[in-house]
Amino acid sequence: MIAALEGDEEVRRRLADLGFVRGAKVRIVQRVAGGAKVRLNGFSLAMSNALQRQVLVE
Amino acid sequence: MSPFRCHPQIPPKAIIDDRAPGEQEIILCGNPNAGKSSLFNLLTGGRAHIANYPGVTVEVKHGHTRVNGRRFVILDTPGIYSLSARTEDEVVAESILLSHHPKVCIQVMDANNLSRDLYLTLELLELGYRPVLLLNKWDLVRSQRLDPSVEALGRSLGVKCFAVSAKQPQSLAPVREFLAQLEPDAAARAGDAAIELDYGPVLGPILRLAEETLAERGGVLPTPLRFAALRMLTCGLGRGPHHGGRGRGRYRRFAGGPPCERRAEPGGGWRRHLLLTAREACESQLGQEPAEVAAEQRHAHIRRLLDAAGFPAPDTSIAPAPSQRSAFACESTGAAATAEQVAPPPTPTTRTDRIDRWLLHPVVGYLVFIAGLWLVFQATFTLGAPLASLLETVVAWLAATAKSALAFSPFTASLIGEGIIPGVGLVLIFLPNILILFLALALLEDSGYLSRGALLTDGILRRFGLSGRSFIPMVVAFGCNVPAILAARTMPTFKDRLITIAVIPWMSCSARLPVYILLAGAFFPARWGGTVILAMYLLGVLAAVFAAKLLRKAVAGEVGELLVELPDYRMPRVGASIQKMWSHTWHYIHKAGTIILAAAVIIWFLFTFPQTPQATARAEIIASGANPTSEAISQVQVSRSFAGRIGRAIEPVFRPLGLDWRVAVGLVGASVAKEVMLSTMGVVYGVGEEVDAGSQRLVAAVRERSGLTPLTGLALMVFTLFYLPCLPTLGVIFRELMSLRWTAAIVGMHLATAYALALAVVVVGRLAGLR
Repeated sequence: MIAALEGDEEVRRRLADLGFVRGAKVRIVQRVAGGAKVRLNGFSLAMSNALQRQVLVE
Repeated sequence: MSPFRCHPQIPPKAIIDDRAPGEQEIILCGNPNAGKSSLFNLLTGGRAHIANYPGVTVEVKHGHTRVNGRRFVILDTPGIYSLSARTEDEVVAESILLSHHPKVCIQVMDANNLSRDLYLTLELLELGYRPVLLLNKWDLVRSQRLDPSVEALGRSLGVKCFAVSAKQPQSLAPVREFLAQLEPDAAARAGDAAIELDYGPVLGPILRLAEETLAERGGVLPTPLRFAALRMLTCGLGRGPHHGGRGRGRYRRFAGGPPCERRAEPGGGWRRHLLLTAREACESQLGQEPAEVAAEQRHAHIRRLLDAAGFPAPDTSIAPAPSQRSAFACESTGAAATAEQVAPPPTPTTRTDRIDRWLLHPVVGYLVFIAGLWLVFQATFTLGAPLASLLETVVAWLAATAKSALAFSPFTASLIGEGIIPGVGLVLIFLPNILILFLALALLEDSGYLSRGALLTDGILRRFGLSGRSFIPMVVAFGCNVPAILAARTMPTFKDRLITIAVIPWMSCSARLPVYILLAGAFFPARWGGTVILAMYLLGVLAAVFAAKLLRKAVAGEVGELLVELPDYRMPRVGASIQKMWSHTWHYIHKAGTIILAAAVIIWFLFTFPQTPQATARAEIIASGANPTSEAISQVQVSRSFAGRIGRAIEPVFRPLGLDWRVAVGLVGASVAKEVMLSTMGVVYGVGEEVDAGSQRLVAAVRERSGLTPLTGLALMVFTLFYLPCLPTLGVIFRELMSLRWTAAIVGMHLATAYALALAVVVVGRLAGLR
């Protein structure tokens, strides 16, 4: 469950628009070198590891 | 200078240039992957006119349809996730939505992904639009044995809602009925917002204050008040979303009008004050930015809507009190990741997930990927080659026919037969290869695999200053650089695009291959030939990767982090892919063709004038005591032409590399199109123009009479690889970057690298005792 976002402003807003908001459930479905396939709100995204680290969960 | 970098606006352009009288406009919008293009094709019968918005690399298409005698023009906007106007696609889409007054605005949504797609709907409503919602892919919803209520959703939003499926064209019948029954004075957009969302206890009051202030002092607004107020408060400080160099300047000219203006203006301080108030309040009370707060409220509203209408809400709930925070992908501890997986009911794995388990597998995934690459290349070259040589023959025949048909006017005969037709032929010869390549890419994209490719390559490319998204352009570049540069449009940030475009030309395109083959054949024993050529390709790739890393440091930006959707896998639609193939190919022809035609004429001119009649040349040669062979004669003629003079003028530059004016002339010709190098060398060495890399006479001539040695031959190969992209490529680079400054910088970088590396080859070789 997402608690907060870190990092560059532009990127945070992009993430928020897509659904990375407080309370949303996000899950790593599969890892790849340097990134992962992530599931949020029922759809899948490819995210680089650095970007994943900007999403704080609890 | 105001610190605001607000949402630039693009002036409306008459995109629809073939509107019939009485035709009414429908705007189509929606997320990428929602199935918008399928529905567009179903509604318009697949005939689309594509237009380019000025100053950006976004395409907009429109088509026509008829329903019960009423005619409509359907305008398709770029697929976007939201209207925050941060990417080019969003800016263009918003510009269209603000400047047009359509009868209907249709939003195509993925019925299985409504929690995301509805975000755009809310923004449309706030913009004053009352969109007609097409919940696409309804067949998948039904197959899950759910029974949500489309009417309830529509009612709660106050809009019309239809469940459709692109796979079942008859599901569009109710939509067509609706269109047929539209009132003559119906309009998709009203002056006020169609919805008023509650933005929470923190942002809400500030928003109201902003609205009031705007109402008093904002002047005439192109958008509803609330939308403008929200925009103002969620505006960012700091760098803009896109464009460096000239591009930014262009936006500045067009930027203007409310709600956020870049120019400092009297009384403009109140905007800044409101913005800062909002930011401070949100930061201190919620620890978030206003834009995040707004997004959160919107998503909460979406969940309520979906729950009320009976749509399943996957994986979402409201947060409990924060206990302990950790990074989502804690690689060091891995604790966060495992906590996720232990959590109660994980969503059932879909077929796509099962496929991805293999295709994204650390071993199998990469193997499949490489195999796929190889397959695409094979198809492109082996299938394309026979067609290409066929085209070559046709072009040669056409040229010869033209020359004899126009024999009454030697000038025209030469212009057309030796200049224009071969020049156009240069573009056309690659057509088979390009068509196949684009078709393969379109099929891959439609199947959903391409984004997996980006994910797989991102990890590696990132280390070199590129991102997974530059992967495709780089692959395409091995066929031809021109479409590769065009393909680089998909990259979201200007800096990423710039770096990718700067190094693409070092992926040796297929036109350079004949030069390599010729030189390798002339100077290296047969068994080494293949290795040398492979070494050239590798050298190009290595240099590109290395340069990208350096450029990344110089341009000082971080690689845009990868964030792309991974759509469900599906069987690619052949029809749609073919359409895409044609569209991209046509783009290539259009962009490259015009330039190469001009260049072909220029080159022809440079090589043909000033003319030295054969008799004069012969006399000269005899006078100098040499044998007037036809080769010697044509050499003299070339030497006297403009091209020859240029070659001799720049010869001093090339002497340290061990190259003479004849090679220089070839290089001048090759700067137009790499293929020209061969025919130029044929002329220069007196073998005649009709040569290809396998021509033994040319190989022999180069080996014996060119004065090149294996070492300098190698240096020449290296130089050809790096020095300049062909003119069509340069032209496309200029148009994609929209900046003379950057294009010149790239040219400079290429020339410098080419010279340095070729020189290095010669110096090192000489030091090692080679000649």
